[in-house]
Amino acid sequence: MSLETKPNVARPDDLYEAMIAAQAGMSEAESLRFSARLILLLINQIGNDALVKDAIEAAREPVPTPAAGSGPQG
Amino acid sequence: MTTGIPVHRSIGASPVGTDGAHLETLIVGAGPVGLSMALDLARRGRKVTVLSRLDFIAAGSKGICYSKRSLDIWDRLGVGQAMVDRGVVWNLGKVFWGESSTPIYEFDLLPVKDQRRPAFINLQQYHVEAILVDALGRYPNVDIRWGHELTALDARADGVSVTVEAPGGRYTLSTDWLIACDGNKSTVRGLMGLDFEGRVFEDNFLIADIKMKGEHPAERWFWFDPPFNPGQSALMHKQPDDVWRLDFQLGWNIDREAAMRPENVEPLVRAMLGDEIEFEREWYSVYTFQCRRMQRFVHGHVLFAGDSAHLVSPFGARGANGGLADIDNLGWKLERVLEGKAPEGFLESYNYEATTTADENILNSTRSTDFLTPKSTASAAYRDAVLSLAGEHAFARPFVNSGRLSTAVSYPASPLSTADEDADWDGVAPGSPALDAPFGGDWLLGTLGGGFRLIANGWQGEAPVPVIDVASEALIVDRYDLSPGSACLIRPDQYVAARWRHPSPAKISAAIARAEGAAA
Ligand SMILES: Cc1cc2nc3c(=O)[nH]c(=O)nc-3n(C[C@H](O)[C@H](O)[C@H](O)COP(=O)(O)OP(=O)(O)OC[C@H]3O[C@@H](n4cnc5c(N)ncnc54)[C@H](O)[C@@H]3O)c2cc1C
Repeated sequence: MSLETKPNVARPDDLYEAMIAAQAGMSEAESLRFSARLILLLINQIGNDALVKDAIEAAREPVPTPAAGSGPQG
Repeated sequence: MTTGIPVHRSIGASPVGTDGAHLETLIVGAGPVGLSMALDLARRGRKVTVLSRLDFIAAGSKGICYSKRSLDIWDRLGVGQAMVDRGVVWNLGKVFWGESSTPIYEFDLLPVKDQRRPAFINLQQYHVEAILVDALGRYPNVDIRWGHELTALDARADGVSVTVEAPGGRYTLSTDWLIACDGNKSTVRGLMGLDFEGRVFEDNFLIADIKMKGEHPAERWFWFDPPFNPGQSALMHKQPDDVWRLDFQLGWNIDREAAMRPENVEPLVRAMLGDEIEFEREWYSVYTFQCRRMQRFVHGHVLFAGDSAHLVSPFGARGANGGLADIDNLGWKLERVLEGKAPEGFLESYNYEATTTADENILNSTRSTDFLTPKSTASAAYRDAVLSLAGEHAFARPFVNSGRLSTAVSYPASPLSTADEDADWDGVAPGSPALDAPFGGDWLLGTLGGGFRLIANGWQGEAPVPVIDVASEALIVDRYDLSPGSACLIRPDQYVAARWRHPSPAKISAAIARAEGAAA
């Protein structure tokens, strides 16, 4: 099995909203801890060490190239 | 030269040795590792000399937890029962978090039952050393030189010359082999200018060994962020003679001298155990921890074992236990080299297997220390997330790391192992330690002893080594996955060397030759 990077949830807007709403009013520290708890739950749900490591790699932001178009657009 | 070190048993200085005498094997250091090494070689009939800088057995708080594997090794050396009789047996660990008196996590360190030895005993290091010294006293081929310190050496390709300082004067010795068991500040390592690479952890831990009549069970209790040591961790462990080990994490920027003064220790003890408790001080000290090892443990005719070669944090009890694994691995190999049965290059397999063990111990110890002492905001957040989930959700408990306690290390890629011919094996793979089980009113490991042995299920061939037939022992057949006719070859250090569904004398001989360095 490889890491699923194509759309895979039915209602992305709902989930996005739920995640933000869950952290409303939290301090940065509380939010960090919440995220860590959430990630640990999800890691266990995935239940596949190699996939989790692939996800960790995929989550690293590419080193930004200092070229054009870094401002907000559209 | 030794003022300030508390004495458990005074012995007195040995007379000065004959200047220029030549030895076969010299062991430097009389800690648990050097003494166990001496006992192993002595039981093989080799002559050994041990240098001990101190002329007494030191008291004070050092190692207390000795693993099942170490007890198995000591059984082979004839002192296992003495250790267990003197020690406190335990198998269970409990982890607490914050105020709650209900553990968030419990672990049984001996999940496989029906073995002779428990997961651990706790025993003061000085009792361990005393038992070993007493056992060595029964071997006329052992010469322990108390109060004799190695101060200089010249290591050549075929032997070593050393200078020894003793209360009665200085003398020189030469030896074919030198085993450096002289602890973390190893004189031998220093004099040879050898590396000792690794990490220092920026944290201090207070050890308070106290004497009290306690009602607590013989279990390892560990707290994260308890009310009596907020933001830090703590540990409580039972030792023999009503001695308890308390361990308090203190953090990095502290006054270490002040921290171990009774007026600062005792409030912590009372906060932990209650104001009303009565206790006496055994020993207070503050430790910092490091994880490091030498790149190689074999340097010509100088062999390193124990803390001289590798250091870990105590969380996991992998220090002395790791050192005992070294001597267990080295003894039978050195014997074969001394007897001319194996080439010197055979000791390269000691280097390989002992550094493999050290790496696993350092990896586990580093991870535990990182969990106890998070190095970043993110690391602290994950640690707290794990702890906060573990009470409610079983999945989070295996993430809780209060120390991964010492177990025997396997060498799946050891050059001494013969690969399986058949793919359908469960059981114990080559390169892994033999598993104990009851055997004919005794125990399997005790029956194996210290030479090559074949454990077989009804195999009728002519084996070149003693055969232990386990056909009527269902549990052993199951643990080793020995279907009728199959067999498993065990090394002198009780590791599996090879196994076959269809053994033959030729295959067994080839596997023994391989395990004795023929492929080296
Ligand atoms: C607080 C604490 C708790 C620990 N808990 C545990 C535990 O629970 N379980 C565990 O397995 N380990 C534990 N350890 C680690 C354990 O104490 C060490 O790993 C162990 O002592 C190493 O044994 P050793 O024989 O290699 O070295 P040492 O015990 O250091 O012995 C070295 C010996 O060499 C002698 N020596 C040194 N230089 C010379 C010289 N030049 N000439 C002659 N003699 C010399 C010294 O006097 C000493 O006797 C703990 C350590 C600490 C500090």
